Amino acid sequence: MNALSLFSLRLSLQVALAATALVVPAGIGLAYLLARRSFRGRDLLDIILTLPLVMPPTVTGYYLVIVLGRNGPLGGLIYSHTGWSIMFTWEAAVLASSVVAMPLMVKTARAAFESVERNLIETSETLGHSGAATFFHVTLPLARRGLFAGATLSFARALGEFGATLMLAGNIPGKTSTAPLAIYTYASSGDWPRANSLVLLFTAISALFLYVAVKLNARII
Amino acid sequence: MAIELSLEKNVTGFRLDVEWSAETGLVALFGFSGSGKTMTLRQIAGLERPDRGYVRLDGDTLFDSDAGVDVKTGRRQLGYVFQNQSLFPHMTIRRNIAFGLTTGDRHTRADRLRQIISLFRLEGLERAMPAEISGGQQQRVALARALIGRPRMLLLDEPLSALDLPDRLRMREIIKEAQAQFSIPVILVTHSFREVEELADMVFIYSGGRVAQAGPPAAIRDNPAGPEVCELLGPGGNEAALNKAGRKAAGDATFP
Repeated sequence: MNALSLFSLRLSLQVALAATALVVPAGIGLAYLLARRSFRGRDLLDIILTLPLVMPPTVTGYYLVIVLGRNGPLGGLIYSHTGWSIMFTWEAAVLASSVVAMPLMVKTARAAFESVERNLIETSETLGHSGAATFFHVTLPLARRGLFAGATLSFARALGEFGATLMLAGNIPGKTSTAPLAIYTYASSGDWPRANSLVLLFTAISALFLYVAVKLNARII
Repeated sequence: MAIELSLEKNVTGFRLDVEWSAETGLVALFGFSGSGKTMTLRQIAGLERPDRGYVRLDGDTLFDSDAGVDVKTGRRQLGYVFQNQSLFPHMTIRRNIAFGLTTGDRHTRADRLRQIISLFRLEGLERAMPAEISGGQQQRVALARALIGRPRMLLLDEPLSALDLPDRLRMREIIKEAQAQFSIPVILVTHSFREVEELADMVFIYSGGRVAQAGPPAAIRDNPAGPEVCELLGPGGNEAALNKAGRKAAGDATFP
């Protein structure tokens, strides 16, 4: 196991954790909005949030490049003010992973919120609790299993992200090359020993993650 | 007048149009399901908004479409007990009841909690989870939780219908005791005229979104206003009145 392989593994975990930290709170907020409020453009928001689940990740990544590239509407604005561009940075990998993992969090959390009995929310209101108190004391604890499942799926999806990351962050060894990208590089250049060891280690980490998720899930009941 | 209301609401295939008032005491809303009883209760509580109308409690306006008043549910200070599944499944019985207390310091809260737990004979169940106690006990907890914050009025949406007979009888006693103890107006939604006769001082008979008849239960039993009300009173209803009304309607006393 060489230094670059280890770096790619560490980067993958770091990116997946950061993406999950972004996706969970944002996804909970969006899912609650979609589940409990009716507003103009709700269906459109739902479609936009679900698209990355349906489109190939390279297409999602392509859109991100268009918007966030130095000549893109948002990327250009940031670059002209700060001289910084997200392209080809590890933050880009986080953003790409977040966008593709978001639908999994939103879909799962929305289903969890929708399964909370309306009676219980209304009971809390009649007892004089505000919307926020009801959310934190009733809705959130009752939806906790679904929310945990959403977080687990998001982390898993972010850990394995390839296409959108390649488009936005590139595949720079020692900088933005996550484990899936490094494995691809080794395999395509015929460096089988390194590909093998990285694949095995990645598999072990995935299995360990699943084991921890199952254990935690059992404690949540 | 304890409560005065006028409610109009159109939903697909149904129109609620009622206007009534009642003094303190136990008021029953009686009728088949889909007649607008629960809708009335929900609109009193502010869980649903009428298209037009008003709700006043002891002269305070809780809702008035003309004046643009719509007090939020949480600020109406009403206790509400749902038909079933209304305990928070993730909280102990003690926490469920305490969740009804939103004001007061720690000491007074603890005192109040102790009082209400003993009033509703729930000692020993404090640490249990809702799924571990019987349906009758669950409804007692729901009632205790609705009353612990000293609401101005108690709204009961068929609180007995999911219970078996012994629990139902015990719960009736508890509702009577609670009303005597708290002396606040109670509105009870039910489809059992037996419950109405047992508990209510005044009953509004609902049919198809309107009030078909209003008065003390005994008076309605003795003198139902037409075949519609007779049919609602059911086979246990007054035979003579049924016959009288039946002749008048010549057999067309149908009800959807």
